[in-house]
Amino acid sequence: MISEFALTQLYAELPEHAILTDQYQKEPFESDAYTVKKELPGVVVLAESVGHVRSVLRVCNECDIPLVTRGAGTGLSGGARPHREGVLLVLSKLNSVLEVDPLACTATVEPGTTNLAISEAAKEHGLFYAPDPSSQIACSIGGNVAENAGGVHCLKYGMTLHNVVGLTVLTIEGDELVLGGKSYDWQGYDFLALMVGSEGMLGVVTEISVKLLPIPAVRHVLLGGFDDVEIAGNCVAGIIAAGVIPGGLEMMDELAVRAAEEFAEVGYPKDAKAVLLCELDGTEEEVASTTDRVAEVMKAFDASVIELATDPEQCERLWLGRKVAFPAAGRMASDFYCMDGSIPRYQIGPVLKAISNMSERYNLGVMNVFHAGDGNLHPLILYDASDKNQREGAEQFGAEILEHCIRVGGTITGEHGVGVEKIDQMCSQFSLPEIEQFHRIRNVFDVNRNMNPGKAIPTLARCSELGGMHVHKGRIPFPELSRF
Amino acid sequence: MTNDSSQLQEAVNAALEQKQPLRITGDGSKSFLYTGDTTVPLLATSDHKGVIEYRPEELVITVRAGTKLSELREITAEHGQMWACDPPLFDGRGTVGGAISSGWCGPGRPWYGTVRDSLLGVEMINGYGDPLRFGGKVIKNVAGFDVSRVLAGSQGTLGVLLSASLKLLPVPEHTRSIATSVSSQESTSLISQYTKRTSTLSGTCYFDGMLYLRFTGVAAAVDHDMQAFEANEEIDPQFWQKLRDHTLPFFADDKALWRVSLSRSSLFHGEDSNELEEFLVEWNGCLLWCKTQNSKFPTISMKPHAIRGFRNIKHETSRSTKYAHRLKHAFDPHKIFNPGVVL
Repeated sequence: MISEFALTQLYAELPEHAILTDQYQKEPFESDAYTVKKELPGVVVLAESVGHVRSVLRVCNECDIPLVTRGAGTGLSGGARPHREGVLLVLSKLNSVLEVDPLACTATVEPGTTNLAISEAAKEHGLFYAPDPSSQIACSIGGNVAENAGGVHCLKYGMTLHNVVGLTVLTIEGDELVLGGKSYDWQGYDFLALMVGSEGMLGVVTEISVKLLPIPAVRHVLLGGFDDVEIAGNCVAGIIAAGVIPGGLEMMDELAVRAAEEFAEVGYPKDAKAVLLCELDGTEEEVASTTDRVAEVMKAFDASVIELATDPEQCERLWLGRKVAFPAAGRMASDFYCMDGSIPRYQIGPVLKAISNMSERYNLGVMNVFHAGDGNLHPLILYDASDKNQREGAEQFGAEILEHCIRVGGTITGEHGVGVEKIDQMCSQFSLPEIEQFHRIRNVFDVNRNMNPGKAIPTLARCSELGGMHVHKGRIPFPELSRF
Repeated sequence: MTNDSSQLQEAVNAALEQKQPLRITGDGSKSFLYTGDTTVPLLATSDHKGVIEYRPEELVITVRAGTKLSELREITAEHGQMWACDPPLFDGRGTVGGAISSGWCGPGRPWYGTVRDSLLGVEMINGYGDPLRFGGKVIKNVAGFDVSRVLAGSQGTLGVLLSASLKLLPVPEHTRSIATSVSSQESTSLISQYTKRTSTLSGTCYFDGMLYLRFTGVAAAVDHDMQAFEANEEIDPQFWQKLRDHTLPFFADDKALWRVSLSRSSLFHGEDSNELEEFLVEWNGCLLWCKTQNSKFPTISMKPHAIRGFRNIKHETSRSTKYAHRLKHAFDPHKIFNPGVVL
């Protein structure tokens, strides 16, 4: 619970209906889509205006209490997990598309706007917003900015970072920062790059301007079936090496193909050990040329099946299997745990092999559906949450996958963010001086550390304990010795 | 190929110990842009050079900061790849470290993105003397704050850049460029025909009544987009390198040169005002270079997003914002890197 004083302050500034204090009202907010760790928020505020956001920031700053900002709650790493002694600021009611500028090819929206709503608003001008996380119907752009969300089309069009041109941010001190804008460059430090992916720890974004692109004239999808996962992995590198940057390049392993087929019967080759889906978009001439080239590469890597979809209906059918993979996994096991490691493309084959070995060791099934072109893995660990051993096994299995990703030159998260889920692995990926530098950056905006505490950046003490070194009050013993 | 990181580390440690600020430089190709204290000793990263790792199939190269841009271009071109943000070489001495610190991009900026967009990871020394690594060698990476990208354009104020991993792109199969004599209004409407749809347009430049366009991509697509210009003169693609490196005749005098960033919706290609007798516009009408007499501040009808004195202008002193000041302090509390440079 939060203090009476803080609550009084909130009531003084906000309408009563915007403040939720009863347990039954707060329960729907106890986690985002990372449901492993839940917490009941101290109080929930459903902001209806930027003025409300300002008020919440002021109260949290003056009362020195935690503030967690949340959009649609579709995040997969627990970035929006509430704090029991703090305010959960929900921005989903701030969902207006403020402007679509067809000349500048930009849209300016409020943070609660869903990802898909931007493309829908831009459609009449023949434009679209490229990053498309799987949850795009529901996820809000504010959350996309907080996590630097990706999606199927990042390979060609980039992540959220590459597609956001401007942000308006309120800091906990009450300053409004207008970052970037409609020009191609600005003076000063690139605070915009710092804000994107900062997991709600540096400020609250109240307005977002994104880049829009012309909707491609033509779109083809090529499906390749392979008898060997490793060869399919190598084919991904082969396509890139052939000088083609596909709109999307996705891979599904045997189990994922089977699950998708049982769920939606889209006509994937059931006996394939791996399936690649390669989307090629652009002008007619461009797509014709790149389609031929990719098909040749698939042949050279001994694809057992190659299927080409050229009309929108066929393309949708081929994509459907990929899209239903996650719900289909839900039919293979009562629970699944989705990982998000990112690795160099040339490691795809060997890493999938290593994951398969771990799967045998933990005696837990694993299904792989992922953004192969980006080297962004999404192993789905299948388990039964009601079985304590399986639950713990799944967590350990997941942690081991992430450690393996770091070992082969990758990273613990490609697009889902660290949140609470991967906070311990941050200590494996970064040295203490690096973690310390993150904290100093955090202090630039939030010296009292009330913005989304306990997320994304582990304390030095936590890392040292994991590394077996004791840190007292954040002080490293014998700081003059170099250790890292 | 040399690894000079231990010397650079020692130099930073010594600077910290003696409280002696340093001016970080690569090979000095952009030294005319430096606005800080010029009396402090130089710390040159130009000997810390060479490729650390290059895997063409990954489209990623990791190079030391002192590597020459010209060398990077040669190495990547051997594999049909390029660093697409295409930073200027100026006199040919430009280094990767300098390109990142200045954040400067070539004529393809609106289509290929910025230096920061293609920066995947860095290795650096901060103002505490700590060697640090941020980001990585993979395309997607959201672990921790995006420190590498903040270094782009930070003008060496946050630390010494040691190496960087850069995302590369395949060199387009085909490039064709044309020049056509049109009015400023016509040039605006011509360009917008291509920006409204997926096209192969990847460079625009307008000055002296001539519009220059570049088309890149697969041959059939480029040829299709060029159909409207069958009657026009095709030009040597070297034009774009000259534009990038400021070796076009437009840049060859001692007048005050300003760099003006305009809104993406401005589609600026000139105006009636006599104030702007000599100007050049690139980036779809969003980047304006203009010359003025006696260092006079340029006046244009459109509200610019940023105006920067570029050459032969006595730099006006500006003040850092509260947060810029704090960010500098977070990396370099003893102010040993590039003192006097304000961002």
